[in-house]
Amino acid sequence: MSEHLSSRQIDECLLGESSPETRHHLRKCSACQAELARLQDRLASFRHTIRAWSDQQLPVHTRSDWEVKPMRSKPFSKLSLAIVAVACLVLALLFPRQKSQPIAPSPADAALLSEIDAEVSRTVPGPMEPLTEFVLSDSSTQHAAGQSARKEARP
Amino acid sequence: MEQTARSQMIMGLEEKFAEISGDFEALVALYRPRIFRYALASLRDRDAAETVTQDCFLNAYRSRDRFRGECSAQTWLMQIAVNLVRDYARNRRFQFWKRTRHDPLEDMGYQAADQKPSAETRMLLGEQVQAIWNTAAMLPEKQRTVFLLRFVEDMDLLEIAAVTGMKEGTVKTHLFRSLRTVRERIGANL
Repeated sequence: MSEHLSSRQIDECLLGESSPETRHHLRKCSACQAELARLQDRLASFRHTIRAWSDQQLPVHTRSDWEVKPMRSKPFSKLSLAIVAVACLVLALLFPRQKSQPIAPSPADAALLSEIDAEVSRTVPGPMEPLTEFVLSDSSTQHAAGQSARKEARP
Repeated sequence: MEQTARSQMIMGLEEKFAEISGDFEALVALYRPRIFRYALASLRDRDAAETVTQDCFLNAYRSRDRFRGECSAQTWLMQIAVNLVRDYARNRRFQFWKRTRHDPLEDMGYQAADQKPSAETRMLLGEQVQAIWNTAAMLPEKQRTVFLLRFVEDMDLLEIAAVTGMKEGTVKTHLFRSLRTVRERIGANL
């Protein structure tokens, strides 16, 4: 065996798995004893700290806690997700439907529209309407003159 | 004397549990702190640890008919807890938005194993405990599990093997590897 224990041998001592030779060396070697004691002390401090922390963090327990809470927590989260999904679906269905519905015009709008239609469908603008009589009479005169000329030209 | 009475009470409770007619609430009261501690040290999240603890007892209660008393009630409950912690940690890997980490030294400071350390020793030990805590978080899942069961829960190799379902040799290998990693990370501090 070398002068001092190896890290592996120290670890074996920590786990209670040391060989008789290791234990024999440990009894005689104060340096290895100190090394092992230092490690044991650090790990014991780690254990004490975690245990004290856990005791501090442990929630106050009531009789029905373990029976009720797990039943509530998981289904509730699934249920809330389902509600949100359904709400989104309903909103998605409602909004396009509202847009696609035909808008019923108000009576005033309808009157205005019919006025515009009438205005647009006129062949001659309103102020020029009196002149149309002349145009119509001229065209009827020309038509009559043309017919008489054709009659004269016939043998 | 007091310890003997406590051991007798534990044995009595376990017998009751094996008969599947005992007071389950008494069993919860007895082992809840331990299950919670293991879950908290593994997950580092108080809410998650509480959920795992409750699920552990709920699963135990539902499957109490299958408990044949081949191992102690403590081993059986720890088996359930180890599986739940493993599943929870794996699921949480994908839930990055839920990650909350608690730190014992931030929450309450260092608790010395030695009764009255000097201020200087206290500071040094606090740093070393913090280093072990940080290193444990970086260990692979199986190494971390056996490390916590050994050095927080103070279980022996056979108990750890029973709880984790590993062979004793495998437990030993994981423990040696975890100790080596802790040494390497902490270096001269340890």
